[in-house]
Amino acid sequence: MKIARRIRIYGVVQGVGFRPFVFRIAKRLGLSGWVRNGESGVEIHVEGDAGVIQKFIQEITARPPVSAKITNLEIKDAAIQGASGFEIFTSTRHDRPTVHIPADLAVCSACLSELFDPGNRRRLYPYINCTDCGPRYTVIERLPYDRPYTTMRAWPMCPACSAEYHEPMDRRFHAQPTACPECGPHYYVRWQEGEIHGDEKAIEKTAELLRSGRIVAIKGLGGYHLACDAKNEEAVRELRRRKRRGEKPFALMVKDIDTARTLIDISAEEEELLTSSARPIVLARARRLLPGVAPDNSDLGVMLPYTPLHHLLFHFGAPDVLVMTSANRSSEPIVYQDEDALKSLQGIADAWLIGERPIARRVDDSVVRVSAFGPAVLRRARGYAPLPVAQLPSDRPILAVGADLKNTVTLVVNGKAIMSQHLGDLDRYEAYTAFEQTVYDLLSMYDVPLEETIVAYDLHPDYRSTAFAHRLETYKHLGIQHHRAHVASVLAERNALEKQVIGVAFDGTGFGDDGAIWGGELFVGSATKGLERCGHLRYAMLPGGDAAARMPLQALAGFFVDELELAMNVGKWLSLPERFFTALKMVEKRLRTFPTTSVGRLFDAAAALLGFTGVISFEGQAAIWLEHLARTAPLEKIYPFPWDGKELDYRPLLKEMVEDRLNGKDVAIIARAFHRSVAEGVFNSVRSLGATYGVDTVVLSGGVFQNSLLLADLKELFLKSDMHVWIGEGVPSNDGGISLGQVALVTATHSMY
Amino acid sequence: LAHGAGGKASRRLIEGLLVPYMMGDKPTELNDVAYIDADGRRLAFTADSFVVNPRVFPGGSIGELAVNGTINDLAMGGAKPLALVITLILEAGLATSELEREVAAIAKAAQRAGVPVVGGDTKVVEHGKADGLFITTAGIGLTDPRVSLSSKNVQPGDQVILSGPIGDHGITVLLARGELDLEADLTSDTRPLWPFVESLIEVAAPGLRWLRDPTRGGVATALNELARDAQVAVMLDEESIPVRPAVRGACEILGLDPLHIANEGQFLAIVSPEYADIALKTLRSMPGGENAQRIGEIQAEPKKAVLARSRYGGTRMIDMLIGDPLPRIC
Ligand SMILES: [Fe+3]
Ligand SMILES: [Mg+2]
Ligand SMILES: [Zn+2]
Ligand SMILES: [Zn+2]
Repeated sequence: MKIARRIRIYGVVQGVGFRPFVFRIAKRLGLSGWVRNGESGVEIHVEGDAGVIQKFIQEITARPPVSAKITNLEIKDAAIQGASGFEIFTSTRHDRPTVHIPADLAVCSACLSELFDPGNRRRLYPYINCTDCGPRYTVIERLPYDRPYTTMRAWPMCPACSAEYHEPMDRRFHAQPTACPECGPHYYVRWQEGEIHGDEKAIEKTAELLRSGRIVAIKGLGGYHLACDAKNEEAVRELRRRKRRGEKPFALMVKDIDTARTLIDISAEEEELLTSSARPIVLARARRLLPGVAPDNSDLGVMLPYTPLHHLLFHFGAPDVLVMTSANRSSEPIVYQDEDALKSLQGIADAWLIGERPIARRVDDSVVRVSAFGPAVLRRARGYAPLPVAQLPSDRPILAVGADLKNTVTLVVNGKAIMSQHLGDLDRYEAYTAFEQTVYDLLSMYDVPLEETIVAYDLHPDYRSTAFAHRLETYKHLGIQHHRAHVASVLAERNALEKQVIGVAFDGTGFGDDGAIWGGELFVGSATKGLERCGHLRYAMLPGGDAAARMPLQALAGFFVDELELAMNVGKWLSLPERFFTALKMVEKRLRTFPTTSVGRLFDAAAALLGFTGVISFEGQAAIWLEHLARTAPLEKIYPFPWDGKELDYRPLLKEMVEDRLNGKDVAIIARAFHRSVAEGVFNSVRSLGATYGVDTVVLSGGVFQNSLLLADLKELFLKSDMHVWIGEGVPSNDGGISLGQVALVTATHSMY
Repeated sequence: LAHGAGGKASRRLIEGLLVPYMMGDKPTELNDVAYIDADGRRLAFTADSFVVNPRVFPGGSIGELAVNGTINDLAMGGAKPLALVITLILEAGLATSELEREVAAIAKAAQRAGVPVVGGDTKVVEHGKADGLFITTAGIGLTDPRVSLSSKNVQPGDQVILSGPIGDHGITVLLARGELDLEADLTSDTRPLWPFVESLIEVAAPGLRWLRDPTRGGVATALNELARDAQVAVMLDEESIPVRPAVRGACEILGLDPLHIANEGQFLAIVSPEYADIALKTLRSMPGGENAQRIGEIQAEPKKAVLARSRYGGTRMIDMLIGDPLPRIC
C-alpha cells in the first residue's frame, strides 16, 4: 500500500551533498516526492510502499555523505500528494538563516581518483572539488551559500561544468566552488627569476625547489604556508632563522599515512583524526627526531595533504615530509592575501606558489591531540570552524568575544553556538583586525542585529576584546569571569548546563573576582545555578606581571614568597641568573608584584627550578619542556601537595623538590614526580569536594590540562574512584574555549531574569 | 582614587569631572597650556603640581622637576617661557636642610633655563597631612606667531620625531626608591626643552604641527591622545625608538613597556614631511639632541590607534597606560 512520510533531518546536512544523496537513493528505490533544505536541516517528503520507505530511511542513516553528520531524525505521517517523480527543491531563504556555514573539507576520494585519472578532464587540476569536498568557509563571502557570494564568482562556469552543476544525479550538483582547467582559476609560481604559469609546470617547479632545500610560500585553503624539506636540517634551520622563530615546533605535512607512521606512533583514534575530512594537525608521540623541527619535544605535529594541490605537490616529487608552517613573520597571524604574501614574506620565502582563487578569510590549520581522556582539539580552525559546537537554550542572540589570547568568538543564534576559527593574540594588530572582522562577519551572515544581542566579555580590564565589547551598542553587556567560562565551555559542549559538577580551571592567567590573577581554581555548582569558588591554589606572588610569564625564573621567585631566605640560598646553590635575585627583591618589596593562584606559573616555576632558566619564545614553552623532561623518567616518588579544604598548598611540594634538586637527584625524576604530585593534589581536592557537596562529576579545563602526562596521571587516579571526568573535546581547554563558556553562562544567567 | 599613573584613568577623571565643571559643554582641546590674547599678543599660561617619591634621585630632584616641567609645558605650547610662580606645601617635620636644598634646586633650574621665579607662596600643613613636600607652579609664556600647534593640524604623512632616549626619568626614580637591586647607570633626563623648540621654530615653523613632552603615561599615552584628538593613526617603527639598554632591561624585568614610562626631558614633534629632515638635523646638531630619531609616521587609518611595527615581530597595538598594567599572558 502506498503511504507518505515527512522526514526531517538535523545536523550537518547542508553544503555537504545531502540533497543529491537523498535524490539518488529515492530514484534507485523508485520512490516519489521531494527533498529541500528546510529551516534547520533537510526536509524530505516521500511516497511509496511502506517497506521501501523503511529501506530508504535505513540507507540514508546508514551511509550519509562523508562530511554529513546526522544528529536527529524526525519521521511523521503525511498526506499523499500524488507526486510523480522525485525532485530537489531549491532552498529558500528564511528571515534569519539557520543553515550553518559549512566548514572546509579535505578533497574526497572520488575527486582524488579523477585527479590522477589520465582520461578525466580535471586530471591534475589543483582546484578539483565536488559536493562532498573542497573549500567552504574559506570561499564564502556571505550567505546564502551560492556561487555569486563566494570567491569563485569571478570564474563563470564553462558549459561542461555548468551541466554537472545543474544535474541532480551528478556529484557536482550545486557544488558552488566547482571548476575545471577550462573555466577555473590556476596556480603559478613566482621567484626571483620570474614566473611560471600552468598548474603542472608551476607545481613541478615548486617540488623541485623544495627538493633543493628552498623555502616556498604555498597558498592553501585558509592562508599561505611556508614549506621546506623537513629532513633537510639546513633548510629547517634557515627557515627558523628567516622567520625569527625561536624554539616553537613546526607542523609537518607528510605524503601519506605510511609516511606518517615512520614519524609518529599512530593509534586507531589518531589515524581516524589524521584521515578525517577536517584533516587537522595531529600531535603525537614522535618515533624519530627531525633536527630543528621540534626542539626539546617528544611530540610531532603531523597532517596529511588536504587539498588537491598538496596531493599534486607530492605527486610531482616534493620531499615526502614537509615543514608546513603558517606563513607569517614571527607571532603574526597567517598571511592569506597574495599581495601581503609577496610583500611580507620577502626575505623569508625563496618562491611563492600562488593560486588565483582568493581566500575569503584566514583560517589556520587545526590542532588535535589524543590524550588519556580521548581526542581533544587544541586549536579549532580549518575543518571545524564555523560549525556549531553546542545547543543552548536561548532565543535571543548572544555574542561572546572570548579572551585576548588564542581568541575565538562565539555567536549564539537560534540556540546554536557557532564558534569562529582561532584568531590569535589580540595584541597583534592583524589578529585584532581579524577579530573585529569575524564578529561583524558572523553577525551579518546570520542577520543578527546588534541591538538585540547580548554581548559577553571577560572581566579583565586590560583586554582589548573587553574594550571592544563595551564599544558595541547592544541589548546588554555581561562580564563573565575567565575561569568560570573555562568550566562552562565543557558543560556547554556536553549539553549539561544544569549538571552539578566540581569544576577545576587551571591555567596561566585570568582576572579573578578579587582582582588577583587567578589560575588554580576549584568551583562547585552548575552553569545555570552558578559556579561558586570553593577552593584554589595557595596565593603566590607574580613579580613583574607578564614578565614572570615570559621568564620562568621570575615565576619561581614568586612561589618563594614565604621563604625568601631559602630562596636566596637556592639561588646561590644553583647559581641562578641575577634575574632570579632581582625578582626576589621585587617580591620582598611588593614592587610590581601581583597576587596569583596560577598553576600555569607553578609549572613554569618547577621548570625554572629544574633548569629552564631562559626566556620563553612561545606560550607554554617551559611547561612543555617540563612535561617532556618528565616523560623520560620513571615515577619514583610523590611530593606532598596538601589540600586543607580550601587551599592547595604548593609550599611542601616546592620544598621537597628543592631538597631533591640540591641533593643532585636527576631532574627528570623530579619533573616526573612533580606531575604526579599535581595530579594527586587535583584528585584529592576534587574527591574531598565531591564528597562534601555530593557531586560525582568533575570538569577539568584551562590550558594546564593540555599536558598529556598530567592527564594520563589523572586518568589513572580517577579510574580508582567513582567520579566521572569531563574535559573539552571539540572545544579547546585553553583560552580558545572561553567564548563558548561565556555564552553558556550568559544563557544560564539570562534565563533566570 | 587611583588616577595618578597618567593615562586612561586620569583622562577619565579630567574629562568626566573637571571639564564639565570648569569649562561647561564648550568643546575644547585638552592641552597643558591655555592661551590668552592680550593686545595683539598671545600669551600661554600653565599650572602644574609636583609630587615625587623619592624627592631626590640621580640627575634631579622635585624642585628641578617643578621648574622644568612647567616651562616645558609652555614650550610644548609653542611659547617662550617668561616667568614662574612657585608655591610650596610643606609637611611639618620636613628637614630645613632638605627645604633649602630644594629651594636651591629651583633657583638653579630657573637660572639654567633663563626663566625668573617672580613670586609664590609657602604653606605648612600638619604632620601626616602631606608627604614631605608638594610643589605647585604656574608659568607664563609668549607664543611665537610663526607657529600654530594643534592636533587639528596633524595630517597623514606627517613624521613623528622624538628628541632622544625614552624612559630614563621613570626608571631612574623607580630605582631610586631602592626597591629593586639593579645595576643601572641612569639619570633622570629632566631639562628645559625651550632651546630645542626655539631652534625648530627657526628652521621649520611652517611644518611644525604638534609638540608634546611625554611625561606621565609616556610616549604611548601622548601619542594615543594625539591619535584620538586628530582622528588619525600613528604608525611607529619599533626598532627606531631610542631606549637605553638599562631602561630596556629594567622594563623587561618589571613587565613594563618603555613606551609607557615617564620622561621629563624629551619631546615628540609632529612635523610635515618636507620639514622632517631639517627638523631632525637641527635637533641632532644641538647638545643633548644627538639621539633624536624619526620614529614613525601619521596615517589616515586605522583611526585613533597607535601601532608599532617591528621588522620581525609584526605589528603591535600600543595602548594608553591604564594604571599599573595587569598580567594578561596566559
Ligand atoms: Fe585561561
Ligand atoms: Mg605638566
Ligand atoms: Zn570531491
Ligand atoms: Zn569548467
